[in-house]
Amino acid sequence: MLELDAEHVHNLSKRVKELSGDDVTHCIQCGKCSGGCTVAPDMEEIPSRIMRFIQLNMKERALTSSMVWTCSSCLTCTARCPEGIDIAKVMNVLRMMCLAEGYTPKEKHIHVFNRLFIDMIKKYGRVYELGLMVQNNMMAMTPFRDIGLLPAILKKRKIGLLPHKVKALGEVKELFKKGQTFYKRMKVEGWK
Amino acid sequence: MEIGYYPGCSLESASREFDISLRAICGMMNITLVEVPDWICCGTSPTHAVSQELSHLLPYKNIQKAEMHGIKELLIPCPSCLYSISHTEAACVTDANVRQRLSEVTGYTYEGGLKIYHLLDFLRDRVTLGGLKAMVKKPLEGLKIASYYGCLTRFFPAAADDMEQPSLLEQIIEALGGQPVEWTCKVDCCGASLSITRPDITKRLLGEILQSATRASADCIAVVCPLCQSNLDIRQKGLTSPSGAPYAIPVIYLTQLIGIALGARSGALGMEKLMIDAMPLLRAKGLL
Repeated sequence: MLELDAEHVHNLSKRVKELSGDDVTHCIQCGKCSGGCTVAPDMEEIPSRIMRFIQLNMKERALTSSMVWTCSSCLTCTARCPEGIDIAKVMNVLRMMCLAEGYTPKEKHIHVFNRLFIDMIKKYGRVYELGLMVQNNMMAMTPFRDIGLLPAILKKRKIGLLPHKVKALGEVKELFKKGQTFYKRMKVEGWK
Repeated sequence: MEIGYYPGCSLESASREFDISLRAICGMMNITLVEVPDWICCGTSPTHAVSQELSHLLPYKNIQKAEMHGIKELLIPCPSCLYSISHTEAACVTDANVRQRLSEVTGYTYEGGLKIYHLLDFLRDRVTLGGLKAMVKKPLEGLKIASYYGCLTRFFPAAADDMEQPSLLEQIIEALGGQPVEWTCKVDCCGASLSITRPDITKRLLGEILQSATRASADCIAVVCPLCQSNLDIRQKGLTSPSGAPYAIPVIYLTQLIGIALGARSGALGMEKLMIDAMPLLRAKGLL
């Protein structure tokens, strides 16, 4: 049962505002974000409903939704919101909150891909696409996904076999060390 | 003319033909690209999803590297990189807290003043449409082109005339002598990295885009984003129209189309790297 009380009803929207600068209480539930959403047709939720969860302090529903992770950050919702809410940015904030509060991301594949991507930057300073694809396939336990594309891609020399490493890698590592991030608190559980 | 250049990870890997063709046309237009020395990844959407601070730090480091190399104007062809870097640049100018924190961590203070260009903005504002037209040697006559902006380009001045129905890419195609078609998907999202994590969603999106281009009788799709190009080109094989016919629509970078119109050899534009071969189409139109 959803219980609302005057003292706590704004807890979630306040936290979202602190992190994103966007006031979700302004959402008028017009649904333009949902109508234009790239991924909504494949999801059980729609962005306007996520905004409503925030307004009603329904933290678990908001933070454990797949929608938060599948959002492609195309910013169509942000472009169309009549209240000027950067909805895509709110989705990013919900991802961070989901991890920080210890919830399991509903779309593990996406979370793991993000993590591998960032690890790649930390390791090389740039993204090593071939390595990223291979590692991601291993983590997702789909080792042969896209393997059919590989011969043509390699023949056309579209991707390099070896990573490009930046020279000043120490500086990159320094950024990761000094930057205060949610990243440190991120836990990745194994695949089940 | 000299301009700073931030290629980004895609342009030195899966989208090398974007880099190759950009360098080729800049050479033909007497534009010197000054690459940001030892640039690092901008962080793009994965960092925006896990850490606000990291999502600013990586672009900031690149702004630092550009400025310390004397770069005052920066061309960023990849819309994702452009979004990250211009987002941080704007935050430094408007938000004193962000500026202070970034300068604390990096030991470098950005004072503002770096002019950042999207490829389309650069073509309109610096090369100019008239200037481009004057350089055309082989007009793209009879080539019906679906201009695909993708989702992010509309956020830059390039498409600011109308976020839902921008027209600059069409204007550039017309300047090259090509024929832009009216179609419905020009600012739709290709699904970006969902092609790896949720291929089911990307498949639907790509199907919609390809169907719309086909309905508009487009010969090819012109793109300005490495993610749009990779998804539509590499993952087109196996996709079919509602009637079951396989799609085979070349997805060509705008820089490659410009190169052809300026009379460059196809080898100098990385045309052979496209998965859906564009050569038969270009030959049939007498452009090669």
